[in-house]
Amino acid sequence: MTLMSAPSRDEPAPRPADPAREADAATVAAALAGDEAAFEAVIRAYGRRVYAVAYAVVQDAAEAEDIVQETFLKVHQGRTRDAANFTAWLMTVTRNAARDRLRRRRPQASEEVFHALPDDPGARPGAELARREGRERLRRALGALPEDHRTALTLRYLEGLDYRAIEQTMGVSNGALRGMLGRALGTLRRMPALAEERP
Amino acid sequence: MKPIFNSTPAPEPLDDLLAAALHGELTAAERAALDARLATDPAARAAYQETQRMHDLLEKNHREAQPDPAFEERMIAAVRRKARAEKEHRETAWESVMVLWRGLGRLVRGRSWPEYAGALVVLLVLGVVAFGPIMAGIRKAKMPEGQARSLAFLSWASPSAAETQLAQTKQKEEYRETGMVIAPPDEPLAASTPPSMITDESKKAEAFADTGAPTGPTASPAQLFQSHAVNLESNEFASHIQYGAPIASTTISTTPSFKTPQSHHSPGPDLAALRPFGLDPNQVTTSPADAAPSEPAHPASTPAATEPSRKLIRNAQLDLEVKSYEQAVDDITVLTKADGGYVDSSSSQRGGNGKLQGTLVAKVLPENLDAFLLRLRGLGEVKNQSISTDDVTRAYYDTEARLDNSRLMEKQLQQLLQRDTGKVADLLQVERELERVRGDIESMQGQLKLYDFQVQYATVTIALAEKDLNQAAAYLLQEHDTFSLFARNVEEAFQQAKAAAGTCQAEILSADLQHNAGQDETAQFVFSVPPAQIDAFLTRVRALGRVENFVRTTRRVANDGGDTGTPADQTRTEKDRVQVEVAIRADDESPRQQTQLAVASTGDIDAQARQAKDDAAVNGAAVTASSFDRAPDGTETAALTFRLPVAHVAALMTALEKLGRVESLTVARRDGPDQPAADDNAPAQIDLQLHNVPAVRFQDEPPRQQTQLAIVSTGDVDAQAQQVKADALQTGVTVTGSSFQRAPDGTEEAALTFRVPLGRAAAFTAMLEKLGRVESLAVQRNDVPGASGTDPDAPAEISLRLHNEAAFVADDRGLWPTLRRTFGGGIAAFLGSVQTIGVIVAYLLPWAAALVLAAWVGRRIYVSRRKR
Repeated sequence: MTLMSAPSRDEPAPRPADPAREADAATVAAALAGDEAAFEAVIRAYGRRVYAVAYAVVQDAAEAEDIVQETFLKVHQGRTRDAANFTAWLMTVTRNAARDRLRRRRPQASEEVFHALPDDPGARPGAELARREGRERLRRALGALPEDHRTALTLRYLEGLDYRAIEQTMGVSNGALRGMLGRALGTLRRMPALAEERP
Repeated sequence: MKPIFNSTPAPEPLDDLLAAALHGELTAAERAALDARLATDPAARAAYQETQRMHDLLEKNHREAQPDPAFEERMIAAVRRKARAEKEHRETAWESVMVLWRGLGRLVRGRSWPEYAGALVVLLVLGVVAFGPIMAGIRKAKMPEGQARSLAFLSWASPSAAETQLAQTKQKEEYRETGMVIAPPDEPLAASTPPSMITDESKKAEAFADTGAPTGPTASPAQLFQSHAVNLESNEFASHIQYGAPIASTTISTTPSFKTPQSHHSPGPDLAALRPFGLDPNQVTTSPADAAPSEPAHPASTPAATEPSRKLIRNAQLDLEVKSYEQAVDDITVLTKADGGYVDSSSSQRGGNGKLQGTLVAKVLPENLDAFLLRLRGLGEVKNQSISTDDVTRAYYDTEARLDNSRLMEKQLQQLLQRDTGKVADLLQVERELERVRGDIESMQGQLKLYDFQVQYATVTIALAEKDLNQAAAYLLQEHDTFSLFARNVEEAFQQAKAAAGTCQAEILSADLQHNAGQDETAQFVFSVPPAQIDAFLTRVRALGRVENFVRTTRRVANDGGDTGTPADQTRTEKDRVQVEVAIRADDESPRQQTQLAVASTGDIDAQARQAKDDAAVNGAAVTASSFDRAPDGTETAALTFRLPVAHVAALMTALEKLGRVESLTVARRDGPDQPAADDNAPAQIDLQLHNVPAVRFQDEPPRQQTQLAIVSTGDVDAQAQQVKADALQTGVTVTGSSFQRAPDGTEEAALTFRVPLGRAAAFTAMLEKLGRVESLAVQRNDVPGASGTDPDAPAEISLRLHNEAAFVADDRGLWPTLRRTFGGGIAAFLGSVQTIGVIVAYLLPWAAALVLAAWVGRRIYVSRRKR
């Protein structure tokens, strides 16, 4: 059955997690002790994952980057010395920072006033509008999912992490992760708003 | 590992399997089972296809949101930059403390104790003089509610941060010694590669030229980035890096291969001075001593480059008078566009005379403002111009610094929340605080954006007015006359005035005739008279009686409510109908001649008054008022008023003057302007005041003679005074004042004042002189001109001072009491000085103790270091 054979890949993950991005406990400990080189290594190792978790919450690339900076600034300031639970700590800090952003985002009127610049006249309004609308629909659909489901999806699709890495990042079991992803995809495909959406 | 995310209950197994299949996470057995199911179950197949579509959609969508390849480098640089910015002010403060410490040690070493003591006194004085104002200044902290301090405390309290910072300080000191410069932190693996070394400014300039830095068309390199230091508090410094042109900065920061030479700044001791500029804000490093403060600025920083770092809001206001409003608006729109601006708003209105005026608000780039204003001047006549520059630099960076601090506070609070320990009430308290801090952050961000916007464009408000805007189309002369008319017969005058109005085509706007309770009649008119008839009308009305209070007001008003200032030549001026207000009153003819006569009589006043009334009847005079009054002192007064024709005045006066001695006579005559001078029948009035001469005159008549007599008595002063009073009463002398006092030294003194008829004064004085030895006698005489010099009834006043000799010496005089008083005063002064010295010592002692302690500790540390 050709239909079935396509996804049945034995090797996991289309883009497996880069082994170099796994920071060992020693590097983390050194970074927490103030070693600048180790600190950079930690950012390289965890930066994108932190970004993904932040993006899962705020759904905005620029804000997600801000959150990454905030989070690692806290690392740099030595807010934790616990290298063993570093990943968990990092994710909690990220998630809280992202939630804060989300809560603070509401009054946007003043920003819009100052950023209301004329659109680029060269752009084709129709296609761009359709694309934006599609993105917006998906964003709303994702927004309707529970936050942990969204996080799992983002880590998977944005970072291309395999299940093992996601489990480690989120601190959940394999069964629970499968449940989250399965349920998330199931919910999305049943959403009427996304029924017409083509990739 | 502690689960961070809540795990959810198991979903439909099929969804899980489909997801895992698409993610390639199925085991071989699971895959086989799924394949089997898909082969047989069409619903499952449909579900698979839908899930795959969703999978593809997600993949595509997230691909767009993926961070770019330079993501990590960017993050590392940004985190570094933020960390450095936070640390910098702490570092600077720490180094200042160290420098002070070392300097103190050097100063204190090897001195003798007298020198220490001298230095201490100097320091004390300096401390009191200098630190007082400083402390007062610090109290005016810019941070509200002591935020800054609490934040600083929190950061200092974090031990790891302090260690890191110490390590970095050491690192910097090493660099300083070797003249090296810290490597750019965003270069990959910078810590493991040797730092690039650029030691002199010319090299920097070459390197800068070689890079061919992509500068934007509108911004010079110097404008791209500026760094600015703000002295936040006496010991807090913060550095701010600011992007001058957003487009250019984006270009640089997103080009990973773009390399620029580092620049090195000296925040040094004088941070308040503007620092040289760097090219890449990510690469700006600060090192306290790697460059002398006097070092010339970076090649990119021309003198003009210091301006963009200031936040200046420029506004201009221009009043222009133009020929054509529409044309001017068009011209301004073109000019604005040419200067890179736009017309923000405009409004106009047309006046009654057809002229246009309005206001335009234009936004231009600040650097073009002056040129723009010059060009505007060409459009018309400038009536008024003002340019204002609001320097919000300080406010801007203050806000920025407070924003940073608030963010830090927010982080701390979040951390508190994350610790998740403590009572719910505490957590709620923290939540509330967090909410408040976030509110602050948002408002500060808004403020900064507003500043940015205001700084980005200068606002020019142009008030446009067409020439002769306020010129009125026509003028009216409005005349208004008011006067009072006194007529013998009010009603008759009222009718005649009405008739006059009819003849002169005057409109009667209001007419009012009133008969009041008495015989008073009044009438009021308001006429509106055609301008051609006004003179004839006034002549007729004025003939009706005596005119008083004639007032004429003339006003010129613009027909359309315009400016009444200078009429243009061609403007018409019309005369409006004249409004005349007349009040007609009865002319009750006040007396032409008034005579006031005062007569002093020795006879019976009442009888004489009756006699006067009879005289009046004979002479054809009417008595219009009469009164009689007898005072307690026997004074009798009669007042009579007669009204009679002027011709009979002389005869009656002759009769009245025979009643007694004429004291005063006043005649007043009033002739009206249009009355015959000699009218015998004109009314006259005589006011007669008739009074008798009392034995002792009224107290308020000034005494004709004053006698002052001082007598030293040998007997009992009090008893003698009582005796004199009794004698005075018996002889008809009035005692007008008396006093008696006994002084501590036994002196007794009585003062008595008598009022005596002048004829008896000499005899009474002679009697008084018998009381004792005459010490002094003074007589003063005040003769009134015209009054009889020997009037025995005129009042005289005698003041008597009767006293005895002092009996003994008082006990607060003499040598001993004086000595006692002197000694007591001395003791009091001494105690006062002791108290003052005590207060001064209490002020200074703590300072002295603190300084001695500091010097001692510093010296100990210094000595122990030397030994090591």
